[in-house]
Amino acid sequence: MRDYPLENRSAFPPLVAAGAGASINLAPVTGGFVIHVLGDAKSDEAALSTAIKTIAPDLGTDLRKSAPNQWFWVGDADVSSDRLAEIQAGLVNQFALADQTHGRVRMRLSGVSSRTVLAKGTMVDLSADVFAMGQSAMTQIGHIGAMITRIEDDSFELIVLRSFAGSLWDELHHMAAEFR
Amino acid sequence: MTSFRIDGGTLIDRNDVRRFTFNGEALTGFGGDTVASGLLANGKQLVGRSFKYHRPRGILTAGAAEPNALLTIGRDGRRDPNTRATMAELFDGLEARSQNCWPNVNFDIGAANGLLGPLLGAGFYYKTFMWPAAFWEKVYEPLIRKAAGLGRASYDPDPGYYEKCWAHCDLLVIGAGPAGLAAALTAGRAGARVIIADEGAQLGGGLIAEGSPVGGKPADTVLADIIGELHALPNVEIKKRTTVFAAYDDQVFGAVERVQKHLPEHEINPHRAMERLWRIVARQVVLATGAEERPIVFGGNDRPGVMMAGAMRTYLNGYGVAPGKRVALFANNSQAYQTAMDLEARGIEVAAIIDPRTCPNIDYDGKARLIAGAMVRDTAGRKAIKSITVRHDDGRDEVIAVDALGVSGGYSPIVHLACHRVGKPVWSDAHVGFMPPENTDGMTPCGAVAGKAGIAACFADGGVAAVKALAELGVMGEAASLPGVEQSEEKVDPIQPIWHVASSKGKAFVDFQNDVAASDITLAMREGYDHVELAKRYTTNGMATDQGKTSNVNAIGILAENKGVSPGEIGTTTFRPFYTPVSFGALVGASKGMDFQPVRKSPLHGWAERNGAKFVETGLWYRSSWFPKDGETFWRDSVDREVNAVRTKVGICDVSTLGKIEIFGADAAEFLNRVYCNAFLKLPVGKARYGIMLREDGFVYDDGTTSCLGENHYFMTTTTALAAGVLTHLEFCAQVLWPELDVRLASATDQWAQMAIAGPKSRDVLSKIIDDDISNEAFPFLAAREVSMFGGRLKGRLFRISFSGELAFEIAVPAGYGESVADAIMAAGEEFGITPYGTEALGVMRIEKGHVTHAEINGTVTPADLGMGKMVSAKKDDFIGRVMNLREGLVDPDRPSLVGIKPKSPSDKFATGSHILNPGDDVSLANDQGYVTSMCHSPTLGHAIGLALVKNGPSRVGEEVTIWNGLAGKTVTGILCNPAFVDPENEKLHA
Repeated sequence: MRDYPLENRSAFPPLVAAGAGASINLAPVTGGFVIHVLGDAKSDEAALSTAIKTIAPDLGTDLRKSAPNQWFWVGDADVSSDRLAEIQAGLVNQFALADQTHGRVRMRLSGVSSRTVLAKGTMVDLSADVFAMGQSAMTQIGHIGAMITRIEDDSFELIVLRSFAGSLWDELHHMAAEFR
Repeated sequence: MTSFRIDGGTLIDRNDVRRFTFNGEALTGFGGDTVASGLLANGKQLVGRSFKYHRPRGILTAGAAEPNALLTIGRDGRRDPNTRATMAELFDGLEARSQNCWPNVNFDIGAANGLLGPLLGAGFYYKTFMWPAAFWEKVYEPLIRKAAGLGRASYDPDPGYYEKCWAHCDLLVIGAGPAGLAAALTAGRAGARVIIADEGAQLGGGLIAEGSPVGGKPADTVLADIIGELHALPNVEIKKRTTVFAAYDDQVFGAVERVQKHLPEHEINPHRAMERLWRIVARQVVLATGAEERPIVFGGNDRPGVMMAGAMRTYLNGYGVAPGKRVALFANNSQAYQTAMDLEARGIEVAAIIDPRTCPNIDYDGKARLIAGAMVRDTAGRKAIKSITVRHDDGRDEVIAVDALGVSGGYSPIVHLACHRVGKPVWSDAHVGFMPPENTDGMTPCGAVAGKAGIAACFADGGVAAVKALAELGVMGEAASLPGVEQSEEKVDPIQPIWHVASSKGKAFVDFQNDVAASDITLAMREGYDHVELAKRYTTNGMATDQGKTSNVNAIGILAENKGVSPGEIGTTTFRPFYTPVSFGALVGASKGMDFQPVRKSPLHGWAERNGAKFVETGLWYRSSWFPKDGETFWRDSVDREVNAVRTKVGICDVSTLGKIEIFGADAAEFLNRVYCNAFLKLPVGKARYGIMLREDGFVYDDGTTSCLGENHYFMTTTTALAAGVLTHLEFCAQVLWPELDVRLASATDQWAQMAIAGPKSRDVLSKIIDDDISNEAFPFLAAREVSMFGGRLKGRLFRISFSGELAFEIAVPAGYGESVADAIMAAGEEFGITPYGTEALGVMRIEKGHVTHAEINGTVTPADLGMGKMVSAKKDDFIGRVMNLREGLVDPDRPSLVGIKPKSPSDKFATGSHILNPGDDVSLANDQGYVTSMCHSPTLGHAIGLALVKNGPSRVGEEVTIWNGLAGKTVTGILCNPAFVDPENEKLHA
């Protein structure tokens, strides 16, 4: 059984290609990591950023604030549990790390209609002059909790709990149908 | 059939002929028509029947306030009852039907109600139908129910898609009449983010009906220029067909957009919403909702052909429809004279203008005969107006033949949205109307709603309002200069209020939709219901779909007149959302059917599906309930087999839905010690412990295991039901009760796919995929630690815990690998006869073992009630629930406590919820000994078993009792027993 093939399965249903001329595209993000960083009461983002630059310079510093003193640290590399333990050892107690790579999954919405589609779900104002590049917000899309991050001009990344991923995916497909 | 279509009409496209039917009759109209203008153009003055008396009714208005012309439009699932003909756009193939009439609108049996008029006055239903009592349910109620309501909803599902949306702006302009357009243009030019919303299919409001030039330019040219510029501004969003229906706190406004309601079925895009519900967040608001023209209450004022004077202008100038061939006007204000001029300009005879003012100050040089100091007291005509009776100031009556009567009793500012956030409107004698409240909190009223009259005055006021609103945002703006603004002066139009024509002959209606006559209002007063809110409820004035848009102020005026006070002293009823009716489709949005709520799926959902699971909804989760095999037709066949497999071999169960919380921090142990009633301070690394959390009141809140995975790292599991509740509770404790503790909490429920592997062969199965030694010595009961799997290719967390009572493990792996690992375990367990089992088998086995769930932890039990009193620490200084758990009532030995129960005769069954009585006792609350909390058929024992909370239960083991099922009327003799039916010595657990 040691050789039993293991597969890391996507939480999202199979991708449905958008039609020609679609102004919206939905795609799951495969691979990478989402690490929930829980700082103590005195921690701040600058200190965290500095620390991870030193300990894990290859993983980037894409930190998305999820709560006071808490962030989702997101990147496209794969991080093993051993590597995570090493990073945790380097951070000592000020920041605790909880791997959420499998629990909080990522997907992207892009295209000129992405804001219109997201406005069907979230009350966050995502207009370009209000919601800056790289900015994140914890919100709800319909009844599903999600974090929205602006990653390009008209492109947003969503982080959603894995158990809701299929439901959110379906909902976004409905919302985007008129633009696909 | 006579056509009333004449030349002109800025809103219609004569090249776009549209066919529609009205009560089955084929008619035609044009693109741009409303159903109302289409009907009027075809000479259809009679369109419906009234609610109570089934009186013939026609089209009164040209807009949102329409009380009469409510039609059922469409068919099957797309059938919309109570649709205002004045708002519904005409499309090719539209089917419209009259309501509240049988067999048809021309001959309506219900009109016989009119003969019963004297019996059906205000509050008749409080005074009649009193006896005989037996008639209430069998005769009166069915009759009243049949008579009540207007249109009938369709029973077919609506195939349309509906959705909800959020929008944000610096300035929301509500209403796109002259004031709103000027405001939007002003703010748009200043660079602000503007949303301008209007309920009409076309922007323009009063400009649409304007037949005269504005600032020397044709009104339609002025309108086109403004709209063109607004479209060109990228920071201005125009929302047509969008009714802002509510003002909520924090500057959130509800609006509904009719996205595709105006399209024929073949043009509907199934992926686009039929209607869209908007929540608009606006930093500032300009309220430019205009004013509603008021009817006048006189005898026969509801006859088809009687129409608001302003509506006549709209039909004439906007739609090219003549309201009649020989028209009279009855108005107490000078604006109505514009209607006379426009009618005459189109060659329509204006027979007379009846003005109750003795010396009206007017600027009219038309041909119509002006009858000053007079009032219309009656009308005649069977299904449409044929003549009016005018009472002159000398008391003389004169009958004038007409086929339409335009009425104008002044203007009521549309203040609804300004009043939704508690503000009350303020009476103005000068305007003879209720004005918006003074403090409108981020909302600037302008134009007609603020009492301005005339296009140019509204243009000017809209610009000023926008500048004021922009200033609040720190933006400099300059009021848009629009035609006529320079010369604009506010015209003060002396209106003579007329609340009721005292000389009226016949019924003079105040509220057309509810058939409330002036006599009903005065009757309510005589009977003591003279407060405006009471009068509304007693008479139904101002109720139903139009909520009194054309009737409320007149009713208030009649109350005031009769009490000898100002309408301001009477006040208005309370304004609440919605301004106009909003469909359930829009309110529900996409949340219907299977999309009613989100679905949560376990990472093992696909695995369970492949193994044939039947799922059960547990909150939002879909959990595998049992796994039927070929030939198993009854759920218990599967469940019994699954239980037997676990008890004798091995089974695998998805427990991923249990709540999982990662707890970090230097004070995590101390934190746990305070939230659990049992000791946690010294839980060693690598060990799990069962814990009970109490509420502050000393009752049990939740249970579960918490494992120590590292010096400052714990992993808590909760029940599925309370996963979110426990995390919220812990966050409250950490943030509010003990902020000094260093403790950090993260939900990890979704990170892990967790499986219970239970049964005597469970270790054998797991040993094939886990690299570490998991022998009883190396990994004893309650061990918990990270393990290497599949030759080091995967790390998981292994827990030696058991809910079934068997030798068991729970293995947690990163969720993405869940299905692979479950498949691997199935493959590894094949030689041992491994069986997937679901929550039903899980439930059976926990009852057999005497383990509790929320069936027992029902909010009324203490740890002692559950037989776990000894777990409550007597050594700890404090923990949540410690003090209250010691209350006298909670330590009473007579409290219902957990005990097992089984039928005396193994073939007997009993039900959960049954009550326990001593043998021979009567059924009474005083004799109640407790109740059955859980029950199942035990395949292990071959008979029904249960758990019960029984007075002093544990000391009564062996006692015979009566199990009483009041619902089924059954009694069974039972025996109280040890709740651990299987392996009471826990030998299996430690195997």
